[in-house]
Amino acid sequence: MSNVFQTFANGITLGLIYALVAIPIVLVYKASKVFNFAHGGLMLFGGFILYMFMCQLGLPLWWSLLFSIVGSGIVGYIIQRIVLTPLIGQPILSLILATMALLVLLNSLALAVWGVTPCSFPSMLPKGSLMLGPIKVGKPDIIITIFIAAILGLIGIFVNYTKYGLAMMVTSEEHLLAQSLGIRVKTIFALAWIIGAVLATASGFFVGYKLALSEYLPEVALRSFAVVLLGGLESVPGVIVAGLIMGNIEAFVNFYLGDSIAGIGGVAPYIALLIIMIFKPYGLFGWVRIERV
Amino acid sequence: MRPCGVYNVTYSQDRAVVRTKLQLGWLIGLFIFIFTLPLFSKEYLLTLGILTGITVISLHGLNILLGYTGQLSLGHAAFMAVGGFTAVNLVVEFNIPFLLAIVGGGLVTAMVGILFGAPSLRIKGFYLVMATLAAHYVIFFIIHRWERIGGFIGKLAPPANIGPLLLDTTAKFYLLVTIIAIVGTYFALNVPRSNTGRAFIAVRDQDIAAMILGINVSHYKLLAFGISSFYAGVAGGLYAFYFGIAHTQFFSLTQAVWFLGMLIVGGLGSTLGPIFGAIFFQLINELSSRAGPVILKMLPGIGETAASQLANIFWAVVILFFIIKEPRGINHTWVVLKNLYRLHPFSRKY
Repeated sequence: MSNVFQTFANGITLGLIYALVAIPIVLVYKASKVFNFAHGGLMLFGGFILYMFMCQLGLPLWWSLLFSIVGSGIVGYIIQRIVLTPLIGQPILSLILATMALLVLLNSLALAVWGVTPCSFPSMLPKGSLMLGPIKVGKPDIIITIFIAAILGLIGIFVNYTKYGLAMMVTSEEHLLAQSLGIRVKTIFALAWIIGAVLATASGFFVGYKLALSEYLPEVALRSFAVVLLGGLESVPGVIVAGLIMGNIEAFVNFYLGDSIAGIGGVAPYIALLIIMIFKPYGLFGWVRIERV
Repeated sequence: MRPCGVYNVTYSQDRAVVRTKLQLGWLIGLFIFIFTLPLFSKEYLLTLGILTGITVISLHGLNILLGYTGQLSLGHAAFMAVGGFTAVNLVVEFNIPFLLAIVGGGLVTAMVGILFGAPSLRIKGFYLVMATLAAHYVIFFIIHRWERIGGFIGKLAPPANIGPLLLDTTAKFYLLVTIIAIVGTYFALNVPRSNTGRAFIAVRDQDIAAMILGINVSHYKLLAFGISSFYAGVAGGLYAFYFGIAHTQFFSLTQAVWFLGMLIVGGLGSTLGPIFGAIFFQLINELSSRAGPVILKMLPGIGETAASQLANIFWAVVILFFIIKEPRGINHTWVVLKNLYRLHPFSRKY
């Protein structure tokens, strides 16, 4: 029985990471109606920027965090400005392919500059593990979970209570309406991409800290697409719920089937994605679109 | 090319593929050039020719699915992998002749494609991309776990042979790939001219309207997935036999993205588009492998691994450029140039 609780705890940790990876995708989609396939590339690129400041240039943690936030924000702005602004109003194929080309471009740039050997961050969190009743939880996991929860809370406050967050919500409803209310839609698009890139850096750091910075990191982002679709494309709380569900699906599939079929845990989100696509394509909390001719 | 003011006056003229004597001359010249290439060119050029030919076959399939039927698919590379593994296994395990195995690989891939194309009946556009992305990983997972058909390490393919004729040199394999590519191109050329092709185009343009016109949308969507996957399977089989091994590494997700990119760069929904796209892709690859060392010398701080990433970077930039500046691809530029020439003194740029 304690094994089940243990797996559940692992699933929650994993699920929060999925949620953190998935939320910027939803924010960008809500604001600009672009599904950001390049998110994994941004994660890797941002993670490597942080790695460069922290490990290669040897700056202290807070300075390198600040610099990497600024740096990844600039990357996000450049992408929005050069690639996505000209594509406003283009068919969906162009947007999908453009963000996919960006994914490969960012990946390849990061690997070309920083090399293909996996890099890992120096361990700075306390080691060891705590016993919460029958469940054993690693101390780094707890701290990462607290950080992720804090970031999610900040995003919630930003989206629901600040001026720009509210403007973003209006823009996601209807671009023309937002413009008529005096909101600069282009600024909101840029803001969404900057936030997306910065959050991608944050999630790149957490995932890179738990695993390593390597070319496999974008795979986590690809898996988190399943989370986005399960939660529904338009819902931030939905993504958190879906992240927890998907993390637990992966953890439990690994727990029960992992011994007999190696690697089934990694592919479980994709199988779930196929099932979602067939039975509930708009997700748990997404808007069901009614199509008119 | 006929000058302006000359019109088709009979149905057979209207239907003709080759319309003028000049066109016929060009076509014959092209065939002579393609088939006599092994006589005077180096082995390396033939290798490029083989890769281009295989890519053209695969792209024709994707073009029928995406360009004519409008169904976005990221599973094309995985479908090629299915074709490759099936063909190699048919030859090794069942002793089926090489050419039949290639066709068999295509048929099996067509069935797999129809299976994974089934979500297209309910969803489209972006959601279909997601479903085919999942299909890519699920197919790879099955191949990796199924040790008997190859698994992680892949499966070695014996040298290809047609009856007693062993395809042991590059030139012979080049001729085979060229013939299959020409047959595939001829078929792909005739798809949009047929009833089926017009139904595909109707589904692409507005599927609800197509349904009202009495077109069985589900049937044609699945048929498009089947034809497209058949092409992919044949291309994958040739690929596996050319390299002597069926391995999932050849057919990564990046490859699937590149196929979509080649189609955009070449021109969606045209027969020439896949050919332009495949040739352009090889040219960019060549450019990056030639220019790579020079660029790396200028930037000494960057490691040697950069060389392997350079082709990806180049091609991603090219795709972005084409999407932003010329989303209709090289084919559109070609048509514009042709019209400029045809209408010469009265042509204007548009």
